[in-house]
Amino acid sequence: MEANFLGINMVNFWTYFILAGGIFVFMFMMGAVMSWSERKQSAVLQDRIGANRASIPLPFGKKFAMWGFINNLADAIKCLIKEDFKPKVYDKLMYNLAIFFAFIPAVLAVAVIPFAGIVKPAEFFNVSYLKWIPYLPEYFAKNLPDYSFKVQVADLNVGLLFIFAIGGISVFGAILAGWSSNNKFSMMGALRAASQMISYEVSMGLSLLGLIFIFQTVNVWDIVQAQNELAWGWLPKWGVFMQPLAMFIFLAAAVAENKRMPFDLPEAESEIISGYFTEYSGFKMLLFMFAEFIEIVFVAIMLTTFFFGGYTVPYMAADGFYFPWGTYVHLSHATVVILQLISFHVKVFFFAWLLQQARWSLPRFRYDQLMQLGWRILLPLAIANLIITVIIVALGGL
Amino acid sequence: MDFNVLMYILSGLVAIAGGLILIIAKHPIRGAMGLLIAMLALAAMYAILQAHSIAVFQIIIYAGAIMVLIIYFIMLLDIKSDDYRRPFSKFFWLGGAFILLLTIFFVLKLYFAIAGQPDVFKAMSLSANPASSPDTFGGIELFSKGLMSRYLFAFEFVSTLLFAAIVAVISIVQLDWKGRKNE
Repeated sequence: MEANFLGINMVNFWTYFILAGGIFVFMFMMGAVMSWSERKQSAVLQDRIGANRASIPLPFGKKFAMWGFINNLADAIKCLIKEDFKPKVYDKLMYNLAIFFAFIPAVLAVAVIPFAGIVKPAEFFNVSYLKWIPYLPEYFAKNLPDYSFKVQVADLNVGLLFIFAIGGISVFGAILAGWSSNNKFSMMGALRAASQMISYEVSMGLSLLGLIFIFQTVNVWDIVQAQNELAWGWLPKWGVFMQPLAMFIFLAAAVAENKRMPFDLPEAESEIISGYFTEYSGFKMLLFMFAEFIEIVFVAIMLTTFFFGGYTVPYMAADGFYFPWGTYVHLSHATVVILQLISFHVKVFFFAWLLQQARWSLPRFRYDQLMQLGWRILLPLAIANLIITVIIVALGGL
Repeated sequence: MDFNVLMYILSGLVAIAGGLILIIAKHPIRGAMGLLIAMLALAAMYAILQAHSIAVFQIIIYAGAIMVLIIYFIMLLDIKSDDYRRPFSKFFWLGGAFILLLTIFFVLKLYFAIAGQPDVFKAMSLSANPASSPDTFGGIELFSKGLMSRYLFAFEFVSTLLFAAIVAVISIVQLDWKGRKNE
């Protein structure tokens, strides 16, 4: 089993290959769910029914519409077979490259996020309700009895900084798209996007620095582990309890980074058509929209991971629940892993819903208000929060 | 040959290609993209050598901040200088000869460094192997300790240089201390 190819351990290779593939598919499915829920949610908030016509015909006159989910499929097909309209004069290379710059960072940064704790395959299948699975339990028990892995693609010791590095690159997507389209509206959108994203990156980074001070690490895995510990014996050390102000600063800055509704000046459709992707049509336009939906999911994932305990369930350790009043409930390894996965997904779904809800609740900022909020309110607040945190940590609290 | 070594050589080639694009490109934005490619490839090389924090700072500072500013200003000022379309100047051969000499020097240095080794690729893969370096290597702790103690003076000294550069720029565009344009 210890086969090597170019110095790579093949067991590790297949583990991380499947893990990365699974997370990739998860992000895409979430993107599809988001584009569906965006429609349905806007419809509900505006007292409409929303998309429900596209359907797959079934026998006996029934229709398979799935509450409008089939509309997504129809949209994708429509965008694929549409005419790919391009401007008359444009920079072809940059125009096509911009899509990749917008899309790849959105799915790349998830690599450092842990989706669940350590999994031991041999022990995982050794539980009564998973006995029906053929072949796999015997395989792992026989060949890899001690094998274990983290449900995280890359356990980097600079994980948090990696997320910011990838976030910094995603600015290029908007800039290049706007510039290469040879359109004044696109250009305006690109300039707005660049200045907005650079401005809010500062307060976003500063809001997370407090957490680094408290947990004394930038490793995402360690940050999540530290959040499962208890303060004063009963309160989980979630980021939101340790740094409540930083959570709100981060939320505002992350939505601005995402170019979503109160901050959607780069693509304000009533002012500059569609901003930096005005000149994109068909599937290319769809990819820009899709990248934005995936970014919403990623903001939800970051909120979950850094402020709401990530995959951890309060009071749950690797072998069961340890409640603060002394009760101990034993859980099998498989149950723990499944509960962790459920915990992570429930939190991510909740925050994705919350972020989408904001779109239909708040009006767009004016440009000067946007800059005012970023530099004169969020930045001083983040710095004040950081100074107070540093003083408390230095005095030995927390 | 090790996978790490393969990726290291590949990213080195990509970095050189990015540098060539920077010099040859006929439009400033394309040149800037070449520089961006070179920076990202350099970050990849740092990461393969297990220097994760330097790799990440390379991306955050150079690719994420400096390149964004460069491209932003090329876009904002809409620079369309004819310099980019002109063929190489008369210093091309002089510069080319200098670069050739430099390349020969480095190739010779590399040759003497590895001539004594029985298996070059094995030695290279050992140096890029995560298991052969200590756990703390490349981590944020060592990096920040070094930056805040041993290299503090050099770090701060460079930042005063940057300050001097800002003052120089203001004096070049001839603004007085109230922000008015000097005659």
